Amino acid sequence: MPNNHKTEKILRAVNLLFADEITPNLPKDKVEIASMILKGLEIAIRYSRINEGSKECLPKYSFNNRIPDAELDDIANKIRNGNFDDELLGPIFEYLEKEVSSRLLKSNPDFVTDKKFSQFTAG
Amino acid sequence: MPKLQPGVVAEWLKNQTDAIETNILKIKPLYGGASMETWLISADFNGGSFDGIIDLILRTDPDAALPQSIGALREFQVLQIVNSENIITPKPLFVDSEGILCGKPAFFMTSISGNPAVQTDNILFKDPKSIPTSFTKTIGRQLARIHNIDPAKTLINLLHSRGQQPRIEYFWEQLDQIPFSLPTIEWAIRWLNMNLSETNAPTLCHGDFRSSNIMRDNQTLTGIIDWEFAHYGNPLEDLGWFCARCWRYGNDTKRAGGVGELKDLMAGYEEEAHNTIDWSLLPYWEVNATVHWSIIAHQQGLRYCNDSKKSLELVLTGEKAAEIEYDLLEQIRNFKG
Repeated sequence: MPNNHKTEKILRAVNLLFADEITPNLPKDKVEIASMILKGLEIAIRYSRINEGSKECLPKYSFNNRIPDAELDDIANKIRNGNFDDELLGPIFEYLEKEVSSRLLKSNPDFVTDKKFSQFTAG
Repeated sequence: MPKLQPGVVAEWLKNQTDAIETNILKIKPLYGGASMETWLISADFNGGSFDGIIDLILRTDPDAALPQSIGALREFQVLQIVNSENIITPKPLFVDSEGILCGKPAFFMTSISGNPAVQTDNILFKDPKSIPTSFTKTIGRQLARIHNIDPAKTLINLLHSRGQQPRIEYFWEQLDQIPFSLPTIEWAIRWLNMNLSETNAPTLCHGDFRSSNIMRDNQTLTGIIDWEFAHYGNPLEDLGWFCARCWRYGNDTKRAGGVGELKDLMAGYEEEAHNTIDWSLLPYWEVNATVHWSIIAHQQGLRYCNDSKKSLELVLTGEKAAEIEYDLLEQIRNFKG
């Protein structure tokens, strides 16, 4: 069994056990913490699933530590230098939508369809 | 968070209040807020200016503050200024500039009753239908009072000053400190730059004016909290932040912070405002606010924190950045400003 598969399996078990056995019995002031933990576990499960397999599947973004990406650096520089000013809603828009959606797949895949912000904010 | 020593806190408070004796009954860390570390401290004073049992709030800087934060000492001064201008806030009480209580500057303020106007988590979400029109108008009036404060009167050197063009430069500056490229945010800043609107004269801005920083007890506004991002800037900056979809807490149809209607916010604001607001510019400033929040979300994700709960909250906020970026793409694609 590949390591990432094992990680996903363990995380899933922890998530289920926590959701079924711990969360329902918590006092009110701990419910927010519990839901944060569940959210964190869900994201971790999605990361472990996507990490598995070929190099192409490696995430460009993993918990607060992005892998340097020359292509994104180049696009960002070109945007700042005004290279896309004539067509901000042209092909560059589709490229950016894809890039952001690939991160959403790990952090909150439902957002693309339901547009509901997760509300765990250290804002 | 630093570990507070009840004996040290009690002695320090006793000296500040001229009490005969002070006992600490409870020290409870409070979460939420952007970056400051905050505790609720319940103290029993025997004699002095605070005779009896009183709840106080202690605030200090975090180990790794957000670059926008003005820090505890300046926040204390800002609170003193706004408190004297008939703006409903916690009352600033004592400042510990030497760091006796927690090893870094800190200050005490009064604890205010009530809960955030909108709860910030999904589970405890409160129905915004219970919030009356008059409450939204009061929010507008309070925000106008903040914007009415004369910069010349109020220690202008205390705060960062940002107009509109410098604000875009400020976004670039913040983005350049993030160790990876964020092309969607670059793209949105480019759009802001190409669609610049006329500016208002700079006013005092709260800097984090959103429903969860507005406390209410039933239908009464009991305090505007979290002044750590106060600065001088365009008043539409606070209005855009308050109305942006990302700060409506899921109540998308309630444009005024997820708690009320825009017309009521505008009515309350215009009753008190000295400056004239071009409300047609609000959608632009909602995009501006969303850009700002997307940068902060990444900054929060990169912050280090010793506290396990806060640490998870920061990680999740970093993950949330993709939602905010996606929202930016949608706002700009559908922009009808």
